[in-house]
Amino acid sequence: MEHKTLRAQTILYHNEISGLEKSLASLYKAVEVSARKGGAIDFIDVYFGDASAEPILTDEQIADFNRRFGKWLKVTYTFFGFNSGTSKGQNIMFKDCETDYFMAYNPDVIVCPNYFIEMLKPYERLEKVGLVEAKQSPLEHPKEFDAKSGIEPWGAMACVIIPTKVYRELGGLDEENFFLYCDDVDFTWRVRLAGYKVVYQSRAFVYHSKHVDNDGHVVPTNAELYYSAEAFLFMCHKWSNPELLKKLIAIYTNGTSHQKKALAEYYRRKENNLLPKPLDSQHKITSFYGFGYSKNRY
Amino acid sequence: MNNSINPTEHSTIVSYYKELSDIVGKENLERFLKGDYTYEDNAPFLSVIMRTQGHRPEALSEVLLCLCGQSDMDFEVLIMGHNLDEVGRESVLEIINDLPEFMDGKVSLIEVIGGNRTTPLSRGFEAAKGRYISILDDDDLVFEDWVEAFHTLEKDNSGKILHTYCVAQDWLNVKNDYDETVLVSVSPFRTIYCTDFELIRQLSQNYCPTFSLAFPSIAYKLLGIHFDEALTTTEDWDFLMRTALICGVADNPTITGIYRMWINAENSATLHNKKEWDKNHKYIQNKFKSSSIIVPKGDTDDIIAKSCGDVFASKLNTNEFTILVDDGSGFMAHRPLSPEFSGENGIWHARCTEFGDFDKVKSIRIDPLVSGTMTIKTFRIKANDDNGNDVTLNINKFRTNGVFYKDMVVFLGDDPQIRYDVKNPVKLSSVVFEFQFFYDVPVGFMRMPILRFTIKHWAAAIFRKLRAILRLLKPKK
Repeated sequence: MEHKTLRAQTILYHNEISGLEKSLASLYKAVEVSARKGGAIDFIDVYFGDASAEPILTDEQIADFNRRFGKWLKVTYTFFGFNSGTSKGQNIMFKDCETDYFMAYNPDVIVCPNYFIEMLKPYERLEKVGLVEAKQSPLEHPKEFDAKSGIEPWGAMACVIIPTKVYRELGGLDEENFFLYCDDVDFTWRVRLAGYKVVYQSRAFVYHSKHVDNDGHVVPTNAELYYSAEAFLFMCHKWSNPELLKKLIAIYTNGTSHQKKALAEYYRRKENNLLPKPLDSQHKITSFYGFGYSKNRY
Repeated sequence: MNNSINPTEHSTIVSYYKELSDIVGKENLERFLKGDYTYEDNAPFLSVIMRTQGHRPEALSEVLLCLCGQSDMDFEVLIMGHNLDEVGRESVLEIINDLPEFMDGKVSLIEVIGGNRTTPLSRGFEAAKGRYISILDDDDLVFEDWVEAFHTLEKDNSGKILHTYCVAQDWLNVKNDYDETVLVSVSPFRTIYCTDFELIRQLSQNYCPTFSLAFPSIAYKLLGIHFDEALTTTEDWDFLMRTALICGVADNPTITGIYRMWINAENSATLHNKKEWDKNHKYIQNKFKSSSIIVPKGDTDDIIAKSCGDVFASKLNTNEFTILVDDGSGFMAHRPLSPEFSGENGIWHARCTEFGDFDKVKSIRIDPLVSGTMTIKTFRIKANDDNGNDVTLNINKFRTNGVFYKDMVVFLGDDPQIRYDVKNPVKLSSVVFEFQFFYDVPVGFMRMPILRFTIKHWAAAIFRKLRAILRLLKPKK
């Protein structure tokens, strides 16, 4: 198989070092398995962008990672000195990316051994693939997808591989409007708008820690509650859905404190002409369904 | 007065002690009571026993990845390869070898040849070094705190079985365009296994998937509570109950994993016929009948209530009670609703107000439980529309997959359902279901001639077929 280069980027924010080590060890093993089985990937560059208040890693720790895992990967660490959020952080680090593929992932994911082999298959099998999303385990995302081909309406970027030229062509994530959440929905809709496919590769699974409450529902963090509420408003505006935006505003007006705060931010941007230019006015790409970004399987 | 008589010989406690001594041996029982047992050096907290036949490499790889993600890594994994062929053996060994370095030495393959599905469990428990042992199947999924939840619970409950909650989810095993296996979740979580362990209820059937339990290894190794290899199904229930009757059970209400229910793939339910399940069920219950049972403190009030004829003694598992709504896109298009429960004078009230997402409601379906053998009595529905008006009259008479008997509906089969259709779909604000509930079937019903039901059902089936044929023959306009 033709050799390919890949850079894996993740944004750190006060993470536990043991989780980063586990994640790195799993990437190390996945590269080794790919190299052993004749896969396209036989070495990767791992870029840590630290958005924490203080650096969470020392030079010695980075040197230790490179000693232990250096056979199959190289770790590079950047401390931003401010809280960049995921989208801005990814864009900052991406600027000098020259590899064939670019991987964006959450720092705590643990990838399966066949990760690289499975993730690159859609690029060999289908025309014009713009992004491949790994399956999250144990909590699989419920969004609808075509189980035969893997093609999906949007991709969650907890762990994805993107051709570097596609990320560059689209100008990366929309850091102006999406600090933490929905940057992935927006990006993957732009991927599709540019004529590329978004593919869900359920044979490449990654462990992504999630908690459920005693009723079996996922427990969102406070940051998730606020930023996802804010992002939903911006998504409705940016992706030309004024009816849904109107409904959301009505709900948020008498909603939770997070929703009221998000609405205030929306009005501030509206008054200052800071909202993004609407896209896809013909609704050829968007898949809004009820109060979600696509129809779910359940 | 005869001084040679032992004044406590036939007391309950002495009898119970003798009974246990006969089962496990007096010396072993004495050692158990004193905690006189030494674990191997460096014994982990938990031994994970995982049976596999090597037929599900994707699922095996995924559950091992879940173990990689554990917040508490104090465990070992014994993969019990049962009757592996060459391909299966190579596949399992490759999966183990390809685990990240931090799993080195934690996972091993033990091959077992012959016996039934219980045999690898016995070999696994014999080889386990941990203080506790859990059975995690090669197609289960666990959250990061699975081991941690057990470990936390052990601190104040050593010697007891440790029990956590888990959820059930339907999954499909499908082939993609490239003939590769893809596993897809197709239902929301069901919280049917999110209840505390209730000893008396557990005597009728098992409500605990194996991975929601961790067994004290001392009970297996010192007391000799082993798996009954005569059993071809429900061996886990038999083992759980025999251990629970001596060790007791401690609960931790943390959801720690997903019990995957395969809609279209092989599992123990499809591999064994009903006759075999029934035979094993009866065999296990006969064992319970021949044992003395210590009732834990918390379970006593249920027994008192039942003996007083209280309808609530049936202890409806409200976690299983779900309401499904069809707004035109089908019952499966939306998350099931969870009502609030109350009750008085033996009548249950399930009140539901979560209709905000539905512009119009066409049908409402109530699934009272997952399994059958139950009776619902005096069932009524009260519904209000968005303006507070009563819409009950607008609702058709209910349909059900149970059997009508007097003023009751009797459910013999699994997945009981009651369905109401709304004549003119409306936006609802609240619905209250009123009913009496019993975990058994009326005696009179069982005495009714089976033929009557058979004829009735056959007649209905023939009528439906004829109606379908007539529709096909009817010329289209």
